[in-house]
Amino acid sequence: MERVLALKGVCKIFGTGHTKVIALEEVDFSIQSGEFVAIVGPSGSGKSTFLSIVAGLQNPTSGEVIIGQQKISAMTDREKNKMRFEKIGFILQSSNLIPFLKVKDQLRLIEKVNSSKKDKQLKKTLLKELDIEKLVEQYPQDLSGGEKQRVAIACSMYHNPQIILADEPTASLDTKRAFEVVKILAREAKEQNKAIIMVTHDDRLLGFCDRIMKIEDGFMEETTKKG
Amino acid sequence: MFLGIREMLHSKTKYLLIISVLMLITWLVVILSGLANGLAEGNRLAVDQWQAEGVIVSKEANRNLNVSTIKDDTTYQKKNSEPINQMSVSIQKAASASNKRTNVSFFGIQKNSSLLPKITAGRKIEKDNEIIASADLKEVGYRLGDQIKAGTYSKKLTIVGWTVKSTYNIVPVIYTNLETVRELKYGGDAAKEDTINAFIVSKKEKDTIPQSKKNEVEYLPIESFIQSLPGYSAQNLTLDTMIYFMLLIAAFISAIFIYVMTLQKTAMFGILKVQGVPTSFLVKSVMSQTLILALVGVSLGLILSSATIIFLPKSLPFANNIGEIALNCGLLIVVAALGGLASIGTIRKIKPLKAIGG
Ligand SMILES: Nc1ncnc2c1ncn2[C@@H]1O[C@H](COP(=O)(O)OP(=O)(O)OP(=O)(O)O)[C@@H](O)[C@H]1O
Ligand SMILES: [Mg+2]
Repeated sequence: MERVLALKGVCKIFGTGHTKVIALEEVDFSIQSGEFVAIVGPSGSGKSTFLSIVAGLQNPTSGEVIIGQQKISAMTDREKNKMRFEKIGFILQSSNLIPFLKVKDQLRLIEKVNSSKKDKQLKKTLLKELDIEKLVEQYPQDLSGGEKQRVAIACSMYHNPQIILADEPTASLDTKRAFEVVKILAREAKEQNKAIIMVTHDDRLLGFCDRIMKIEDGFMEETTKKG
Repeated sequence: MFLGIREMLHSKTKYLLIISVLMLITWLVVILSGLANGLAEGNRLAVDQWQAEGVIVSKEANRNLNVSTIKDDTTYQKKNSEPINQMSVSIQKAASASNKRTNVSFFGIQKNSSLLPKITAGRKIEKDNEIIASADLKEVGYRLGDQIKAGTYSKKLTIVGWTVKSTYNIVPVIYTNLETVRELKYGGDAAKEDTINAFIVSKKEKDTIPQSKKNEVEYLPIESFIQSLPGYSAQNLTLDTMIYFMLLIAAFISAIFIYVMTLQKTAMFGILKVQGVPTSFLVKSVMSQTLILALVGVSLGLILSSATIIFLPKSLPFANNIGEIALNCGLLIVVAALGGLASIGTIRKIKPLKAIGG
């Protein structure tokens, strides 16, 4: 187990004067590989802002984000891009699949961006573990919501990132499918030794997580696990 | 490539539409340039057949062969030049009941003149009122030995031979001797004895124009003579301008199409950027799409053009110039691809942040 991500005293403030919004205030956070952390909180509390700062998509107003050994603030945009491609996988609410690519090509796209990511064995394992082997010839439009999210998970893991960020990955799913997806995430965290951060609104899913962080009005604190 | 090709295969209709527009533009460009070439050739073919370096015309003629008059006297050396008479007139068969007339251009030349194109049938001119006509006239029904009437000229002319196709001012050329054209032009006017229209110069020398004639006649290099042919430059300019506009339109159409397609894909590009896919990858994908569209569109346009050319009526002045077609098609591909470049800025500006935010 190693610490893959740390935030130290991160603040994010939007606007000035009476339009000022403090989205994140003095957030300290860290996660280790193999850990599955949930982020909960009311709408507008700063969850998505938190994820985008972790991914280097926006800069914190103050504080420091450290991925592996590197400070994000010291990176150029190009380096941040490379860092995202190398180290971070994304699973978004409405799946991040490309509409005109068959499932197998969604995975191949990653090889096309960087041929060193080609890994037949990993691909086979992911297709099997996520139970999407039979779907490889299908387009996203022909998949159910749960299948789409499973394919999205496969894509987010195929380039072998250390960290996976999931912003409400179950929002478009019914309870049964949502449970399935979260179970898979929990399993992947352990089996593939990934650090997974999942934003969710659904309290019933929290049982699968190792830790639960609650954000309210920009403040983040760890809460006790509910069964 | 990968992303671009998959997308085109998935939304075939959209991309087929733009391909067919590019195809039609290519078609138009090829046909227009063929017509431009055909017209240009129809204007100058006979001049090209002279294989001359230049022309001597009278100064007051304003470079116009038809109205130029030169008194052919002994001061002209005529080492590397020879006289020519020219007249445009309409002809008809003397024997035929129909009044079907054909416009032609008469060239009066010396016996054994080097200005006469290759004779393909019949014989040389031996006496007045014998003519050798361009092969085109066969296509409108004239035969070897036919007697014809030219304009108001009272005597009958006899076709004694054919040359290869030879045209001037887009009408067929009829070759005869200097005297016959002179009579056609001036009747029997004795004052016009020894008058010719011009000298065709095969090799310019210092004394090509004698000192004493310097203020009466001028020497025109053959290319400037051709540019001054009536209507020649204007026609070329018109058709060339149309071709350039088509190129411009092709650039705009591809630019607009690629731009709209890029806007439609903003969300998708945002998601890819979130995942760390570099902008250069997205730009390459769009550029390769544009290039493929241009290549396929232009190729189909070429196929369509070749098919059309087979069915063009013979009367249409049309001449292919492979070099020019290649150049125009190359330009079309380049401008269409440049149109795609217009969207690079848009792709760069797409913010990955938008994709996150549930
Ligand atoms: N670019 C921005 N400019 C100004 N304010 C912003 C911007 N992005 C976010 N905010 C504000 O920051 C706060 C946190 O937003 P954020 O998107 O992180 O909330 P969230 O917890 O993800 O909410 P939800 O559960 O609805 O997705 C909100 O008050 C929002 O209005
Ligand atoms: Mg959110």
